[in-house]
Amino acid sequence: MRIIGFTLAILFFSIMMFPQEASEFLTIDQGLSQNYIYSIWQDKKGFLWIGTKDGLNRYDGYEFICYRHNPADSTSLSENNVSIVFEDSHQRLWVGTNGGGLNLYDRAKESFVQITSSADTTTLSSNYITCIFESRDGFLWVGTTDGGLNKLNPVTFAVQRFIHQASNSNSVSSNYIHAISESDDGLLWIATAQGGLNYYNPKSKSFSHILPKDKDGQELKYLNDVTSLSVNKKGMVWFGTASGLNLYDTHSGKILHYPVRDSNGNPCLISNILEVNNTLYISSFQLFAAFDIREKKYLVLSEPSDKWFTNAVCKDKSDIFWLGTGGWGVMKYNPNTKMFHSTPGVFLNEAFPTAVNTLHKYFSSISSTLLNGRGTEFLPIKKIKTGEYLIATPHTGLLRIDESGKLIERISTNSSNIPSVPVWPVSDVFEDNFGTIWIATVGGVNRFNADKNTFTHIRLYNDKRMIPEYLNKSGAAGYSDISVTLVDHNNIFWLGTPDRGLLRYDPQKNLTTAYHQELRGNSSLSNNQILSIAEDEQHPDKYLWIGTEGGGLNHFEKATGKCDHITTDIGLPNNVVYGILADDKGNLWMSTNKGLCRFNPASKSFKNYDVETGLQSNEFNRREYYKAPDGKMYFGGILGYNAFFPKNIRTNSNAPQIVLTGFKLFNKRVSFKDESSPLKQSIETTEKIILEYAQNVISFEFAALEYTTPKHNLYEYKLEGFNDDWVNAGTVREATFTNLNPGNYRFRVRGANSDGVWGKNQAAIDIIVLPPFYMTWWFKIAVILIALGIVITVIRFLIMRRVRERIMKSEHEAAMERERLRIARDLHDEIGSRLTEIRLVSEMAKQKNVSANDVLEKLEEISTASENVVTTFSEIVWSLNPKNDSLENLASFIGQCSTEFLSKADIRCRLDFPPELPGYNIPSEVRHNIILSVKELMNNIVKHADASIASIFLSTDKEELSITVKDNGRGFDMSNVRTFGNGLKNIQRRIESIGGKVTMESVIDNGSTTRIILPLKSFQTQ
Amino acid sequence: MIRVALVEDDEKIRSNMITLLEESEGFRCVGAYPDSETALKDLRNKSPEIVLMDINLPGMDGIECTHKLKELMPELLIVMLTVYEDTGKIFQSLQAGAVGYLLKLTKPEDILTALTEVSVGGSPMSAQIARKVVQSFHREPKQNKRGEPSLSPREEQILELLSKGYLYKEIAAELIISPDTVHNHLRKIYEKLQVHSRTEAVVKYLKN
Repeated sequence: MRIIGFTLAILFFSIMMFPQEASEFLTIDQGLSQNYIYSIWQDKKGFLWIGTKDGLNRYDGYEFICYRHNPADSTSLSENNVSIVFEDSHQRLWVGTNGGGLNLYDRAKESFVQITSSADTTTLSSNYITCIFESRDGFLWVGTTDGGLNKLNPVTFAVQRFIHQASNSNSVSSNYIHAISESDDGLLWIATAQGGLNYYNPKSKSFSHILPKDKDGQELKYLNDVTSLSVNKKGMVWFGTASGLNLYDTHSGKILHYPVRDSNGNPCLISNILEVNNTLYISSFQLFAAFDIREKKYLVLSEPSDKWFTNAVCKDKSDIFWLGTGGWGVMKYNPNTKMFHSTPGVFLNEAFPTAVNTLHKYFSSISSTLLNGRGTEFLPIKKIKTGEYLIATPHTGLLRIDESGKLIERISTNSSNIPSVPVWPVSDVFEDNFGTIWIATVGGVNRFNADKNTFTHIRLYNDKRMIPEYLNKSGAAGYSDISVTLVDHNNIFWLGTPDRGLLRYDPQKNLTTAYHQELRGNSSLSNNQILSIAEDEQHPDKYLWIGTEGGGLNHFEKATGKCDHITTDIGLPNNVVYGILADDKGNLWMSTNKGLCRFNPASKSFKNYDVETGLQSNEFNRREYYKAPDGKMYFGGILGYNAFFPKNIRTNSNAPQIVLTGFKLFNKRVSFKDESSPLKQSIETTEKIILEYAQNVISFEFAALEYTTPKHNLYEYKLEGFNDDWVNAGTVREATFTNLNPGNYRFRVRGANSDGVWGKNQAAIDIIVLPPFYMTWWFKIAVILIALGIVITVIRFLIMRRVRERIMKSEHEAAMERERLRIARDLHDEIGSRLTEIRLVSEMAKQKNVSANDVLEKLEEISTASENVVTTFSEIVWSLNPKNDSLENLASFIGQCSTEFLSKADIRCRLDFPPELPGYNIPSEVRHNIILSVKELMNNIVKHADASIASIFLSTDKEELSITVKDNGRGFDMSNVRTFGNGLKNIQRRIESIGGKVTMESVIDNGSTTRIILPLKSFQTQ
Repeated sequence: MIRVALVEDDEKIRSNMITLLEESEGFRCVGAYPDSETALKDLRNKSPEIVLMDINLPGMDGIECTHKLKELMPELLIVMLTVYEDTGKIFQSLQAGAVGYLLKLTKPEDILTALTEVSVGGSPMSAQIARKVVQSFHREPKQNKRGEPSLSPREEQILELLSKGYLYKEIAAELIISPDTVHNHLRKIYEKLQVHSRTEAVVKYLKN
C-alpha cells in the first residue's frame, strides 16, 4: 500500500505538471485507413507502419499508403484486421492479422506473401496472430490467440508448433500468447493469458511455468494473466498484469508487484512495456506512463480523459512516442517539444525576486492603487552594477533597493525636484558609466544630482505631450516617449522612441543626434517605432541592434547611422521585435508576435520557436525582456513568460533518413504497376530508371523520415550529370526536371530535420535517358550515309546532265548538220533539177525554128515541171515548219498527199485514222522520212500494183505509231522482192534511220500490205 | 455573171487573176486589193458575190479579214487562195466563214470551175478538213444545248466518208444522193462550222 500511495502522489503531481501534453493525432482525416490501432512499428528505413482494424498503413510523415486485402489478389494482405507489424533483423517486414495468419511484405513489389494455417502441422497453428519475436538464432516466434506458439523459419516458412497440452506439464501453459521475449541465457520468455509467465528452454525443449504462491500457499491468481513482457540483461523479467508491473528476479525467483492506478483510482492493466535504458514505458487502457526502474516510480506522461490506448506503442528514432488508441487514431507524443518552460504571470517576479518582494512589502503597507491599479510588471526596473535595483514608481518616486531587499533610498520624482517637466510616466530608469542615475521622461532624460537631490532635465525634443494640461487630459499613462534606453561602453545614451526613431545623446558633450526612417534610400532605419536596443557584442564600437515595431531588426552602424535590415524577407518570423537579448555564443534571441527567434548574425541563420515548443504564446510584450547575470533569459508575453538558459535549448540532433516516395512522369505519379511504366519495382527499391527521350518531364518525391515537425524538414538535391551543386529545395519534397538530354544521371537527395540537422544518408537513383532514334549512333550513321548518297547522286546527276547536254548539243548539231545537208540535197535534187529543166525547156521553146505546137508542148512540160517544183517545195517547207511537228499534222499531210496522189491516178483512196491522235512532237526529220516513205509506197502502188483501191491505216497505241498501206493490186512474189528493190530499200533505210521498222506482205493477185512501225517513246509529248 | 473580188498582195498573181477573170465568160472582177484594210474599206461598194482571199497578207491576214467581211456582209462567199494545202490555216479560214479554198497552183480552168461551183452552192472539202470539222464539233458537244447548230446525222455521215478519203462522187454513190446534194450539205456544214466557231470564241471570251 505504501507503494501505491507513493505512486498516486507522483501521479497527481504529474498530472499537474503536464496539463494536456503536446500531442497530436494521426487519424483517418490525415489519411489513415482506420482509427482503431493495433500495432505501430518503425522500420529500419524510418517508415512508420501502422496496423489497424482495417488495413495496414505506411506513414512517411506526410502521406499514408494503405494496404488492404483484395480477395482477387493472392499477393495482397491476407486480412484487413492487422494485429501486429514486426521487422526482423534482415529487414523483412512481417504482418500478423486476426484471422488471416501472417504476411511477409515484398518491398520491391509492394505485395505480400501470405502464410496461413492449415491442417499440415508444419504450418501456423492459428491464423489469429498476437505477437512476433525474433530469437537470436534467427527464428521467428509467432504467438496466437488459440494455437499457442509457432517457431517459424523465415526463409522456408516451415513451422514448428508449440501447443498447450493439458497432459504435458512441459508444454506451454496456455494457447493464448500475449508477448514473447528472450533473455541473455537463451531462454525464451512467454506471456500467456490464463497461463502466467512461461519460459522455454531450447536445449531441453521444455516449457517451465512460473506460478508463484503467497505465504499461505495460495496461488497468486492476478499473476495468471500476463499481458506484457520485457526481459533485460540483468536477468530481470518485467511483466505486466491487470493492475501494474511485476518484476521476476530470475536469480532469487522472487516476484515484486508495482501496482499503478489512474487518476480515478482504477487499476491500470499494463498492455505493453517498452524498456529504454532504465525506464519502462508502459501503456495501459487509461494512460501512458514511464516507470523508473531504479527509483521504482511511475510518471504519467499522458492520461487523456476522453480516449483510451491500445497496446500499440512505438518509440521512433527521434524519441517520439506513437501510441495506438482505440478509435482515435495514432497519438504522437513528443516529450521533447516543450523546450521552453512557460509560466503564467510576471517575469519580474522570478527575475528580480528580492526587488519585487520588497516592492510588494512596501506597497502592501501603502495601497495598491498607488500602482495605478496595475501590477508591478509595468514598472521600469533595472539592476545596476552595484547589484542594487532601481525601480521607478508613480507617485512614490524612484526606489533604490539593495541586494538583500532592503529599501535604501527613495528619490522623489515630482515637479518640485524636476522643474517644468511632467515627471510621470517615467519610461525608464538607468545608470550611466559613471554611476549617475538617470530617468527617461517625456521629451528627454533627467540626470539625478545626488548632492542636491534634484534632477536636471535635458530636453531632447519637443512634443505637445510635454504640456502638463495635455498629459492630464489624456491621462497619459503607459509607454509614451523614450521607450527604451541603452548606455553603451562609451557612455553614449541610445534612446528609442515610439514614433520618432532613435536618439543618440552624448552627456559629456551634451550633444543630441536623431536618426529616422527616411523615405528614400534603404540604408536608414527601417522603421521609426523603436521597441528594443541591444549592443552588438561582437563589434560594440561599431554597431547596435535595433528592434522595431514593423520594420524588423536593424543592424545600426553608429558612425554613419546606416542600417542593415533583417526582416521576414530573410527569415525573421515577424517584423515586430519586442525584445533583443544576446547569448554567450553570439546569437540574438528576439521576442516577436510570432514566437521567439534565435538569430545567428554571422551565418544569418534563424531558428524560430513557436507555441508548440512550450512558449507562453506566440505573442510577446514590449519592454518585457531581461537577461540575468547568470545568463538566464526572460521574455514576457500575453499569457505569462518564458525563462530559459539558451544553452539548454537543444536542437533536435536526430538526423533523418531519407527515402524516395514517388516518381512522376509529366506531373503524374507513376506506379511500377502501370503499363509501360519506367519503374519496374517500387520506387523505394528502384536503383535505376531508364527513360525514353520523350519522357522529358520527371519528378521525384522524397521524404526525410523524421517526425518531429515533418513540415519543417528541409531538403537538398542534385542531379549529377545535369547540375553538380546541391539545390536547396527548402521544405519542398519534390524535384522536377525537364528536357534532359540523353545520357546518364544520378539523382541524389538528402534531408534535414526541422532544426536543420542534415542526414548523412542520401537517397539516390540512376537515371538513363535514352537518345531519341534520331540521336542514336545507327541513325546518325544512316543519315550521314543517306546525305552522302544524296550528294553523290546530285553530283553524278549534274555531271551526267552536263555530259548529256554536251552529247545532246553535239547530237543536235549533228542533226542540224544532217538536216541542212538533206535540205541542200533536196533543193539540189528536186528543185534544182526541175528548175534547170524548166529553164532548159523554156530556152528550147524560145528557139526561132520551133513550131507553135512544139511551143505548146514545151509550155506543158514547163507547167508540169513547175507544178512538181511547187509540190516538192511545199513538202520541204511543210516538213521544215516546226508548227507541223505534231502527229495530227503528220496524219493530215499523209492523208492529203495520198488522196491527191491517188486521185490523180484514179485509184480510190481510203483513209482510216483515229478521230483523235495523241499529242506527240514529231520532229521534221522523222516527218520528212515518213512522208517520203508513204509517197514512195503510193508511187509503187500507182506504178506497179494495178490496184483500184489503196487504204491507209494509221493507228497508235502507247508505244508505237503504225502506218499501214494496203492495196488490192496484183501483189508480188515475196521471194522476188528485188523487183522493186530500190524503192523498198529506200523506205527501209529511211524508216530505220528514224528508229522504226518496215514489214511487207504480199500475195500474188491479192494485193500487198506494207506496215511502218515507229516507236513513240523517243518523242516528247506536247 | 459572177462578181468576183480579189485580195492578193502578190502583184503578178493579182494581175494574172484579174486577167483570167476579166477574160473569162461569166466572170467579172469587181475589185482587186493588195491588202485586207483597203479591201474592208472598199468591198462593200463593189458588192461582189465571191471574194478570192489570199491567206498570207501583210498586216491583217486573210483569215481575220474573212472574219470581218463576214460580219459586214454575211452573204458574201469567200474562197481562200493559198500556195500550199496548209490544213491548219485553211480550217481557221473556214471557221472564219470561208466556204472553200483554192491552191494558187490550180489550173486556170479549174479555178473558174471551182468558182462556179461555189456560186451555185458548192463547197470543196478535203479529207483532212473533214477530220478537223468532225473534231471541232465533237470537242465541245455540250454546246449543242445552247441552241447552237449541231451536225445532222447525214452531215456526220458525209464528213466521215470524206475523212476516209472518199471523193464527192463516191460519197454520192455511197449515200445514193446527187453530188449536188453533197455540195449543199458541205455548204451547210461550213455555215454551221462558222456559227460553231463564233460561239466557241464567245464562250472562250466569257471564260476569260
